[in-house]
Amino acid sequence: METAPIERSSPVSFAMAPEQLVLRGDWPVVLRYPHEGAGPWLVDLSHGGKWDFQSAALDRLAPRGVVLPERPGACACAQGILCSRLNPTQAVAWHIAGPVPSPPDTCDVTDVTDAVALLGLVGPKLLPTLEKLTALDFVKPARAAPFILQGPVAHVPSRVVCFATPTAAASALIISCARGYARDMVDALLEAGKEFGLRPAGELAWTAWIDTIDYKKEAA
Amino acid sequence: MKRNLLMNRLEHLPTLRIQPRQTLTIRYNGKNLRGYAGDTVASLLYGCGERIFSRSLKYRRPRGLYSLDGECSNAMMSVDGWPNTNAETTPARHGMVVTPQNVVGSLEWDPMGWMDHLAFVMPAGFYYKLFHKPARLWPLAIKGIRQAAGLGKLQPEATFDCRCDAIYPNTDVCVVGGGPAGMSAALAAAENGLRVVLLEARPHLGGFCDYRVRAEKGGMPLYQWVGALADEVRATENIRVLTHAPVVGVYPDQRITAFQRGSAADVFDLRYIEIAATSVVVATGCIERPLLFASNDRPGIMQIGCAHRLLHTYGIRPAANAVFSVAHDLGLEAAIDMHDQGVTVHCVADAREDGQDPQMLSALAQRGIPHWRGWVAQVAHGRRQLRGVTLSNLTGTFKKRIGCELLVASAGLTPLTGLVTLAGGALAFDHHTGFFLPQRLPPAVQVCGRIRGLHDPSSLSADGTLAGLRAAADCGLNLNREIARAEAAGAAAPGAVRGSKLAMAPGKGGKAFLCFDEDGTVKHVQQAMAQGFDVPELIKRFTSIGTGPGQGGMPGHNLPLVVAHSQASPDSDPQPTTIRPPLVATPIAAYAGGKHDMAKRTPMHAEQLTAGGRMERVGEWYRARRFGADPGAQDEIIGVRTNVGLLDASTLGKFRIFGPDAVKALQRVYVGDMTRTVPFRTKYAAMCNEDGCVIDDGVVIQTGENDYYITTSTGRAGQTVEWFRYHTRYDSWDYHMVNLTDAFGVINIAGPNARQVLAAVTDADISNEAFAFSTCRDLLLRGDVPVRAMRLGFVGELSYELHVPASYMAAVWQMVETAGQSLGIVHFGLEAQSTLRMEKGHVILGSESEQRTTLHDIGLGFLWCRTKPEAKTVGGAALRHTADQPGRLKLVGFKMEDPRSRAPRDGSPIVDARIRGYVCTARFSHALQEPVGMALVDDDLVRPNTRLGIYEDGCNGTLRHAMVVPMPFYDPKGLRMRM
Repeated sequence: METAPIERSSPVSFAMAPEQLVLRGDWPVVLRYPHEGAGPWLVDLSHGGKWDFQSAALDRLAPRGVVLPERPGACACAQGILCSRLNPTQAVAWHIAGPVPSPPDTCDVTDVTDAVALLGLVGPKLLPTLEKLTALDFVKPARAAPFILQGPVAHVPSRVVCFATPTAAASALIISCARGYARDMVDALLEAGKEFGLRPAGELAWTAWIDTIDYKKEAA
Repeated sequence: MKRNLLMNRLEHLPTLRIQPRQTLTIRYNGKNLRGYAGDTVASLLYGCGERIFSRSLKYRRPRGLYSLDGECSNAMMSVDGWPNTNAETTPARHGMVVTPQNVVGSLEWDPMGWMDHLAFVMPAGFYYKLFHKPARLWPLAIKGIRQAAGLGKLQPEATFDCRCDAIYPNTDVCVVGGGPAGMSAALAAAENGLRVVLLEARPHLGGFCDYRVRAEKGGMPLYQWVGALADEVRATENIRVLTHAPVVGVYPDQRITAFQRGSAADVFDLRYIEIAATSVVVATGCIERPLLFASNDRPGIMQIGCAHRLLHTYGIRPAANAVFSVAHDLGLEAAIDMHDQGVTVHCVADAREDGQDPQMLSALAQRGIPHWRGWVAQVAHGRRQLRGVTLSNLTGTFKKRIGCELLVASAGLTPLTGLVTLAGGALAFDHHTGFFLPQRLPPAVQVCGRIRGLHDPSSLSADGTLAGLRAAADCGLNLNREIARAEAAGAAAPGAVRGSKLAMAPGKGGKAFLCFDEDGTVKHVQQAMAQGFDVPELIKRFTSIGTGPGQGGMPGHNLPLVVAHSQASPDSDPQPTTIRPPLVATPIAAYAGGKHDMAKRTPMHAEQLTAGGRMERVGEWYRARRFGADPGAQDEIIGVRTNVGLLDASTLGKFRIFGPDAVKALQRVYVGDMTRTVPFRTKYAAMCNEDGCVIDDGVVIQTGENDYYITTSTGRAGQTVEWFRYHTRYDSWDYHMVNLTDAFGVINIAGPNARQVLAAVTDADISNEAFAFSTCRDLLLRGDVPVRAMRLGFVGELSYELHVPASYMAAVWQMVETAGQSLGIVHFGLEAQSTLRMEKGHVILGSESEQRTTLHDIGLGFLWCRTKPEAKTVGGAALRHTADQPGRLKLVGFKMEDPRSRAPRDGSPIVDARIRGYVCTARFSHALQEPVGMALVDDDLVRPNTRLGIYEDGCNGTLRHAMVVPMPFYDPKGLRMRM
C-alpha cells in the first residue's frame, strides 16, 4: 500500500496559499505569504518546540540550553529559546528562532509543543490592536523587556510575551493560547488589527525582527 | 414655513458645530429632508420644521424636542430599522431612513390619542389592581395593554449592518466629562506624567460652555475659552480623548464602562469601552430639572440648553417668538442670545425672587425683555403644539396668558451624580444649592465642577485642577504642595451658587409630567402617597416613574422634591432614589456586537466536516454530532456494532500529574484507592464534590515513578487543575500538573474489527494477550509516530483509544482511515456514541446525573474505597452518609411497554400522581430492536418490572408507559469488550 509522508500540522492556517514553504523535520513551515505588506504582521510560530518546567526547586534546575529567569514575569532568551518564569514553581520555554534545539534534559519538563498555539505579532500599532482584545496593561507597571503577562486575550486564557514596549514604533510580542482556540484567536487578531494593516506573514517576517535582538547568546 | 426655516439656518455663528457647506438628506416619514454634516437626526428634523417627534407611551400625547442629550424618550425613533434610537444623540447621515414610532395614523393625528381622556381609569399602579379578577381576564388585559403601549417594534427577522468594536484601555486617571472642570482635571493629571483617558458623552469637548458667547473674565467668550482648553487637551500626548462616549457604569477597582458612537470616518458604528483606571474623576456636570406645570409636555416646550444649543450649535432659531420660565441665570443668558438672533422674547418669568446676575438683568432691560421675578409657567395651551402659556406668580394669585410658539422652561439644575452613587459614594441634599451633593467619596474617586454646585468658569477650572492633582495622588504621586496650592486657588474662587428648589408651579388641574417616558404625573405621585407609599424608592416602583429609557435622569431629582414637598413632616429632606447601571440607554449591540465567539476546534475538525460531520457546539468545543442526515445515526451505530468505527474524542481532558506527592493528591481528589494503581493499567476513577455528588470520571494511568496520566470528561477539563489545587491548598505537597488536553488528540477505534485496523498501522503485538482490556501501551505507528493507546470499552465493543500528539492527528487519522477502508470503516459521532454506551449501561455525567446525584445513585458506588480515611477524600464523608439514604433518585434502565413505539424524549418527567423522576437518555436500540432508556426515579420505583408513566410535552395527559429492566441492555457479561 502506498503510504503518504507523515507531516505535522499547525493549528494555525491563514486563508491564502503560502508563497514560500519549507519542511523542517515533519513540520511544513511557511516562510512567506503573498502580499504581506509593510506590517504589522501576524506570524505562526506554533511549529517551535515548547516545554513546561515545574519543580519545587525550579531555581536549581539547569536544563541544557535554557536560562530560567529568577523573577516571575521575567523572560530570558538564549540560543533561540525564550524562557518565561510564570510563578515560583513554573516556567515555560519556547523555541522561537535559530536551529531546532534538542529537548531540555530533565524529568521536570513536559513537552507541550502541541498543547498551545504560538502567534507572533511584529511591527507598529500592536498596542491599539491588543487593546481591542485584552485588558492586560503592557505599559504599567514598567517592566524590563522581555516580560510575560498572563490573562485573557479575546476572552481566552493566554500568555503574552512582550519584547519591547508596544508603544514603540516597531515592536514584537508572542501570544500563546490553547491549541484548540488557534483558529478563532487568529480571526480575532486579524479583525482587531485590520484597521492598522495587520496581515498574515511567514516566518521570515519574524526572523527579520528577532535578528535585531541578541537571542543567540549562550545559556549561562 | 418649513422651507423658510431651513433657509434660515444661521450659518455664520462662531459656535456652530455643523458644516453649512456639506448638506445631507435623510428620508423621514416618506419625505426627503435636508440638513448639514454635524446635525443630529433631531436637529435636522427640527431645522426642517418638524415639531411633533413621537407619541407618548400611555396617553399617546404628542411629544416634541425637549432636551438634546437623550434624557427622555420623546425623540426615540426607528433609524434604518433600529427601533428606539434616540434622535437627539444620533448623528444624521446621508441616506438615513427615519420613521417615528409608537404612532397609529400620523404624528399630528393619532386615533389612539383618545387614551389621553381615559387617564382617570389609569391611576398610579392600576395594573397591579385591575383585570386580575377573574383570573381569566388578566391574559386578555395584558395582551391589550401590551398592544397599546410600548416603545418601538423590533422585527425578529431584521438584521442590522452595524460595525461593532470594543476596546479595553488601561489608564492611570479616567476623567468622565469633557467640560471645563473635566478638561482641567485631565491636564493637571497629565502634566504629572500620568496616562489620562477623558470621556465625553457629546461629540465635542466644552460642556456647557461650548455654545455660549458670553464673555467672562478677560473678555474672552466662553466658547473660545473652552475651545483653547480643548486644543490643549488634544495636544497633550498622554491624554486620550474619547468623545460621543457616554459612560454606562463604574464598578469596583475603578472599572468604567462606556460606549462610543462612531462617525463615518471611524471603523466602527458602536464601540464598547471598558477602562481599567487607578483613579476616576467625575466631572459630569448638571442637567436641567424639568419645570412641573400643567401640560408641560406639549411640543414647543423645551429646556434652556436645548433651545440655546439649537441656536448656537446648529444655527436654528427654535421659534419666531418665545416665553421663558426659568430659575437659573443660564435661562436669562439664553433669552438674551435668542433675542440677539432675531427671536422675539415676550418675557422671562424667573422663579427666583432674587440672586440674579446684575449684568444679565441689565442686558435684558437694554433689550426691552420684561423680567418677572417670582413668576412661573402654570399652564401650557395648545392641543398638538404650544399656542400659549399662562404665567402666574409663585402663590398663583396673579395670572397672565401670553401667546407664543416656544416656551423655554426649566426649574433649575440637578447634578449628574449617577457615577458617584455607582462608585459607592453617598449623597445628601444640600439646601444652598438644592442639589444632592456627594458627601462621602470612595477611595480613588474625585468629583469636580458643576456637580459640586460651582458655576463660575474660574471656579470650575480651579476645582478641576484640584481634582486632577488628587487623582494623581491616588496613583501614588506625592503632590501635597501642589494640592495645597490648588486648594487655596479653589478657596479664592467663587463658591457654589444658590440653586432653585422649586418643585411645582402653583395651580391644580391638567397633567404635570414628572416622567415623559412613562407618562408619570405629579398626580400619580400623590395617588401613590395616598396609598401609603411614602419614600421615593417605593413610589418610583409603584408609579414606574423614572423606569423608562431615560434611565431616571429627568425625574430622578424632581421625584424626591415632589415627595418631600407633599409630605406632612416639615423637616423631611428629599431622599434620592437608587441609581443602577446602565446610566444611559445602551444599545445591546454595543455589548454583543464586538464579542468574538471563541470556540475550540479539535485537530480533526476540518476532516470531519469533509466527511459530512454535523458539527455542534458542546461546551467550548465543536464536535461532530453525526455524519449524514439521519438524526438517529443508524448506519454509524450498526457500523460500530458489526464492523468498526472511528470517533474523534480529542475533547477529553488530559493531564500529567507528577512529583513525590502526586499520589497523595490523587488520593485526595479521587474516591477510589489510588495507591493500588498498576503501571500502564487503566484505572477507572471518579471525583465527587464535598456533598458526595459525582462531578467527573475518567481513567488514571501510572506512567512512571510518581508520574501519572489522567483523563477527565470534556466539561471538567477546564476546572481540573484548580480542583486539585484547591483541595490540597493547605498541604504543601510537592506535586505538579500539566494540562495536556490540547496537546493530544484522541482517536477511538471501536468495533469487532478494531484490532485489524490498528494492526495495519503498527508493528507492535496488539493481540488480546499482549494488549489486554484495561491496559495501556505506548506504541509507534508506522514506526514513527508515538501514541499512547488504551483498551477501553465505553461503547461496549473491542475498542482502542489512541492519544496522539495533536500535530500528528491529521496524519494518523488518515492512516487509520486508509487501514480501515477495505473493511468499510465508518465515522461515528456523539449521537451514535451516546446510543452505543447507553445500550451498554454506561453513564455520561450530566446526562445521567445532575447536581444532587451521588456516586451511589447512578450505580458507581463500587468506585468508592470505603477503607480510605474518609475525612481526607473529597466527598468521602458524604458518600458514607448517603450510601443507604432513602428517598434518593436512582438510575434505572427501562424498556417501553410497546416495543414498536418510539423512544420517549430525553428529560420527559416520570409521573404517577406526582413527579417521580425523569428520563435521562432514551434511544431506539438497534441491537435489541426496541427503544430503551435510562431514568432517574424515586428509590421505590427501582425494582425490575415496575411500571413507569412517562409524561411527554404535548401528550395532553395521555401517558406512555415503560417497565424497569436490569442493565446493561447489551452484552451484560462484557465479553465483546474483552474479545
